[in-house]
Amino acid sequence: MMNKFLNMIFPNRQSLDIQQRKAKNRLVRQNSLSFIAVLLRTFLLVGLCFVILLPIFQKFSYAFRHPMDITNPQVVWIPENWSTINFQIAGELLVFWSSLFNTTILSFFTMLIQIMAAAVAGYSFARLKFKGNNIIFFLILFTLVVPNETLHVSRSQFLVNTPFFGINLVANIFSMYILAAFGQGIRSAIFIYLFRQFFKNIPVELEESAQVDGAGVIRTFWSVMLPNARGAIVTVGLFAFVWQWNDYYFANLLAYSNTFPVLSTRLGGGTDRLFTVMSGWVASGKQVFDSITDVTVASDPLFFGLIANTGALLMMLPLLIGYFFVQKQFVESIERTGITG
Amino acid sequence: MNLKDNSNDTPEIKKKSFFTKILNAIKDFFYIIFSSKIVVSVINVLSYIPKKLTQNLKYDKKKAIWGIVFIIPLLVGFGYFFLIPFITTVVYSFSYVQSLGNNPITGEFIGITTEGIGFDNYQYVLNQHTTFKETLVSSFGTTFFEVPLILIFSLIIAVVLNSKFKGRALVRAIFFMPVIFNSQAVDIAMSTGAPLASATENVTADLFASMFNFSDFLVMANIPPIFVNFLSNATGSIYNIISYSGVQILIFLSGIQAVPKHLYEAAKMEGATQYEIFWKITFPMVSPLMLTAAVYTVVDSFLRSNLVSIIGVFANNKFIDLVNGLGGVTYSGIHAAMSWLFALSSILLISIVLIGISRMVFYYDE
Repeated sequence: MMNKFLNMIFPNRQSLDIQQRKAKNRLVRQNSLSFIAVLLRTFLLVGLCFVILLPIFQKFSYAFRHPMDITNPQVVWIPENWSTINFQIAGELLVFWSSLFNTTILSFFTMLIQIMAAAVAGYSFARLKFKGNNIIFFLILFTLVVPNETLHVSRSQFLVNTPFFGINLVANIFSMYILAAFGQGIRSAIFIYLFRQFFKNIPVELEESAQVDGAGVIRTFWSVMLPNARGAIVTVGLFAFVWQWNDYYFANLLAYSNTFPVLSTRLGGGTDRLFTVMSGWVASGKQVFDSITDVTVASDPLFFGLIANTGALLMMLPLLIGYFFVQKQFVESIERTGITG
Repeated sequence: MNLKDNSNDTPEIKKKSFFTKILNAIKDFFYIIFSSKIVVSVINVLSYIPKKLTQNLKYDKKKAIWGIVFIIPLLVGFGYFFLIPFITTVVYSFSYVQSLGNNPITGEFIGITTEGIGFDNYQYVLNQHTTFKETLVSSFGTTFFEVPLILIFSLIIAVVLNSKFKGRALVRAIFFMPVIFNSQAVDIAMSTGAPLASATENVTADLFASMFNFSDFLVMANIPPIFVNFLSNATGSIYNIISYSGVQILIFLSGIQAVPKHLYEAAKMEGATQYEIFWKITFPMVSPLMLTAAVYTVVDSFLRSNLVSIIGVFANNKFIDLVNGLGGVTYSGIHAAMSWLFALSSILLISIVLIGISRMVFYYDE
């Protein structure tokens, strides 16, 4: 009875033998498993993206908030009164445009010098073998393990009192370039390591054919190896640029910021300056203060927090905008870097 | 209609992006400079003697000589910026350091005197300083637990980011954003902004926290509190873990990319599942990179510990004498001793982690 009924609904039912049914079951199970995997992956990625993006959204939300709204419990995400006062004050605090210009110049040229120095050293470690080659490489890697902070006192004392080939490095605009050129810039050892790995993976035949064609070592390096190392160049360049942009330690150690102010030092030492900026503005009777009716706001620590937050956003914003232009190259270059062991 | 058809038929010329254009412009610029007559003649004059000297050498010898020439600036920089300060720090840590100040007439700096006092600095740091020892032990512990957490997390994320799905480019771009925002200056600025964050967090967090207090729920479900604490700490610091694991994700991602494709194809032909492919192919092939990533993680997470700020206090007041029961000790000597202990413990931790990881490393030779 039951069988007859089923046959009526599924006319093909009898033709499915047991093996086929099993195969079908397995397919269904695999499909559902992969569906669960996709669901889990989506869940994980969306959650993590949310966690990453939340502080950035929060920074924007704070930045556009009117100072009078700080203590307003009704404002959580979307400000009640939109204003650019925070941006004006933070811009004044950082001396934004001139510091931005300085930071860009410094980061760009340091990036170029870092790329050249790291590429030359990496090529030498990878291909131009000589005795003691590996020992020197491990010594260079050792500089990564010993943190900069531990050498701070003796290093600053040494740099102040001993000029480097007749050049006093402290309070010198070019000191960062010199450091980068001699392979002691910001985490240069990582860059050298990257280039070494990259050059090791380029086939030897390429180099040998250049040699057969009569190219010298420099010629081979410049015309054959370097154009092939584009992935490493992009990765190293981006990291060198970003780390130089965010650098605070070397800016203080070398103290070039007195003559050549950059964004990070302006922001790091900013809160002391905030008070002078504010009182100067109040004295000159700027128009923006008309909207701040409460006098206590100016001395409120929450207000300082608001300005510091906006300053941080201003420092990050050029990087963020630039990142969206180069992120494709960046991610692709990582894939091409192909680090092994 | 026609227009539309035509546009479909013609192959699209791939537009060069802005960044590629800049790279090409730089390359062209260098090319023009290096091929100009003046530069070529200058190079010829400068390289006349080296060329004459190396004319009769074999190519391998030439390569070795050029290798040394390429390394020389690196060695000079290493000696000047690293080795001399490093040795000075070692000497300082065993001595009473005093500054002689500037010459009152010429204004020149006279120098620094050091007087050997044995292990007094270390004794002060370990026995009399109130917080250093505890902080050292606690940061040692945190790093020790943080390293596997970050390594596993970044490996999982790298595998996930490597698989194909819609919107992968966007997700990748978002995941590397914390690498860009990791800045000390921003941290300092945000520490000023901390009261603001906590004030607004109280408003929002209370609502959510009271609604879904998951850790309370777990404790009530008779799960041991240590485990719950570990879990809630790990999830609470998820943003930190993400922002600290950017470089490690990069390392693993490029490692996965370098795995030969034919291995995967063979595995798929044999009917291996994704799970098996991960454990039998991806993990062993990427395992040598574990060492690199682990060293980076240890160094990075040690640098973020409170120790750096404790050491920083002594770095700022350089040559002031410190009054204690032991006799003459200066801030500078104590700074050196602390730095040494810090560096030694980080090296110790690195070697422990390396020994632990090197057991599961697999080297694939073609």
